[in-house]
Amino acid sequence: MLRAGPLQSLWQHRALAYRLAARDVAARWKGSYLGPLWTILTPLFLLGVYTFVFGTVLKGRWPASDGTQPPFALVLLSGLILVQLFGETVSIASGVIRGNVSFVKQVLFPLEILPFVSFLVAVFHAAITGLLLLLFYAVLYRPPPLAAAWLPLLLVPVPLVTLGVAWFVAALGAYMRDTAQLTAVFVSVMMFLSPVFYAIEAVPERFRFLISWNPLTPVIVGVRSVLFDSTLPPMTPWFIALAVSAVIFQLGFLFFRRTREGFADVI
Amino acid sequence: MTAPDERSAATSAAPLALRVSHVGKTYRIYDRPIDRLLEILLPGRRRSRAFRALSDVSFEVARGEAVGVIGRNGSGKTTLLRLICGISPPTEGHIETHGRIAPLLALGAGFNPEFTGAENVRVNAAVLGLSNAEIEARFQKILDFADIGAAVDQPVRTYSSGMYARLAFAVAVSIDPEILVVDEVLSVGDELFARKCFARIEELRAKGVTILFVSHSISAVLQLCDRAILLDQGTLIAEGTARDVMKRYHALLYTGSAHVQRPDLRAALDAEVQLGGEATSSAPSPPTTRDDDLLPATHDDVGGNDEIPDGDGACDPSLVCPDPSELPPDGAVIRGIRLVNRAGEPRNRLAHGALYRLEYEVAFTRDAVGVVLGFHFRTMTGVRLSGAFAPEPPETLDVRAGDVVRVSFPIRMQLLTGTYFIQAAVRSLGEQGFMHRLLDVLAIRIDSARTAGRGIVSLLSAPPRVERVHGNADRPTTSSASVPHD
Repeated sequence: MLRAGPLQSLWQHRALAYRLAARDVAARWKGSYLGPLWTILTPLFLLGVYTFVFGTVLKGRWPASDGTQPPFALVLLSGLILVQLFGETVSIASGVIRGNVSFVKQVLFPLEILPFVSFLVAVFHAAITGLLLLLFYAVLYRPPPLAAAWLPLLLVPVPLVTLGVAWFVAALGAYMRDTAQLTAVFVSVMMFLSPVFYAIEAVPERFRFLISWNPLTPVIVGVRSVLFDSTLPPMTPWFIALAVSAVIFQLGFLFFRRTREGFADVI
Repeated sequence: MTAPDERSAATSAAPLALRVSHVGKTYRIYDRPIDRLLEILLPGRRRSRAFRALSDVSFEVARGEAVGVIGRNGSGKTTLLRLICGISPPTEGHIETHGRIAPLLALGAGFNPEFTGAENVRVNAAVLGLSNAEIEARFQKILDFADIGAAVDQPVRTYSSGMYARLAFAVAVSIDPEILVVDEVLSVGDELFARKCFARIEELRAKGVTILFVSHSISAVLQLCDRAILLDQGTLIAEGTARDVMKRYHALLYTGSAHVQRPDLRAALDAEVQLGGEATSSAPSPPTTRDDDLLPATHDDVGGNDEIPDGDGACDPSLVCPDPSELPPDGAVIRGIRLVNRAGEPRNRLAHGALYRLEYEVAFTRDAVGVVLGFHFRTMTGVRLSGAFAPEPPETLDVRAGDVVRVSFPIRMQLLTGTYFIQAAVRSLGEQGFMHRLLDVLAIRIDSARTAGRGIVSLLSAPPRVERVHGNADRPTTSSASVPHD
């Protein structure tokens, strides 16, 4: 277990991870009146508020290359989903070791899947929002273009960077309680340093590095491009992001594996 | 289960299930958790203080053996089990295990209070390493074993701690381990459930599962384990048959040997056990047959039985109360309290069914009326078992300052195997409080015969009889098939 690489380990324990994730997803509904309905209601409210604030009040515009005017809320949401997926995973992961003391101290448990479980939970919510997005896209705007078929491939860096950071943050969280606060700040910064609320072209050239270091940036740009311009953007930044994500993934896992021996001593 | 025929393998060729060689564990104490992280990331500088939990522990366990791990609190038992289960690595030494280990270090790891019992069973089973198919295949069996009825569909937060334990134990033993490691988890739950757990562990054992068992319950260890190891302050100080090791454990508990210097401790314990053994040779029963094979008591003689030997023959100096205390005397002093056999020799290792006398003197320093002298026996946990006053009220004594009174209580020892404490008191029935009272002044140990029954005290008046009242009269009613004895 200790010597296996990240992918091997996740694959080996996938059944356990799915089960724990399913439980965590269900745990949010337990005891609530609307139950699973919340997974749909939350993104719906979000979409409604965004449409009103950014579309009606701020009159945000996102002219597509073909001259059409896609609803601004959809454009916003297409980027926001990804940043939220990252943010939710990392926030949960920061407390995941301290939150499962018995797994650390009392059973033989593949601890490295805990951040993966956080990720799966976030993926579930993101997937619901994504499906709603595509639905509204088709209803309010137009049928999805052929280029939308690139979406799954475009998203590949997202799980890599997210899990890499999640492992890092989870391990750090075991040693420092401040990790939760640090993570909250970090996630908000990520949100605004991703081209979610604005187009990357709107950023002055000399400040653009602030945005482009983020491996999520080329993914968001790509997703918007296939959805609203029906074409792939220049892909070089995306490939760099893929490489960076892969490195973060591996490093995060190594950090987690290296530091896990001390978890039991400090929690 | 891997090999179908583990039982024969375990008894004859005895391949190893577990080898622990020169294992030590040092926990590091960190003032700040971040120091632990820095020590991993920036090795070279120590940022911690050391706490030695185990040192140089070596032993082997053959497949199919049941081994008890005993020792006082903080002696390193749980640390050892955690190392064996692979939950934390040893600092030095090597541990070799053969077969799937089921650690029962805590019940219900990962139970979520909001979920129903059934949901938690599935998750917990997955956490313990079962695949989805295995979980579904065993699910009903688990519920049957837990036997908590319709509660399985209620959230676990509504459970009593007993129900919680039943469910968790049911999952834990369902995983069909080859090595079962149990850490004092059976102390929760009611008596009936504890029995069921034991039955299940016995069953696993009969199938050839190797068992490592930590418990403070003497009877549980004796019942379940062939062998035992005794840990004290992180070192292995005794290893042998469960019965022998238990004796050393007792010596350890009641000599306060913690004060003895470490290297001397083992020798000291050996000497004490030796002392008991030597003295045995002068006792009526030969050394090889003490313990279990003391003559069964014949209880039909109300007055006791002369033939019953009165114990190991020695007054074991190691057997003393851990925590004797005395209330300040108020007009009387109890002195010279002792328990003697029929020959008048002091004894503290007693035989079930034999006759003894509890004697003491009381010196009065003031006048008092309505005085009675009493004693009672208590269990180690403080339950009052039996006592008496002399004289028996309404009769009482009137005394004057300077009087000395001697009292003798004839005792027929009806208690069963265990350690018990005696207290003595003098009071004047007309006054508040005691004139003098000694709490836990004597400790005694009973090694009772098997036939005397179970529990703390025997109510049997004679060996039990069973006869077939309906059925084939040709078949013998009883056979001597070896069933697990308790």
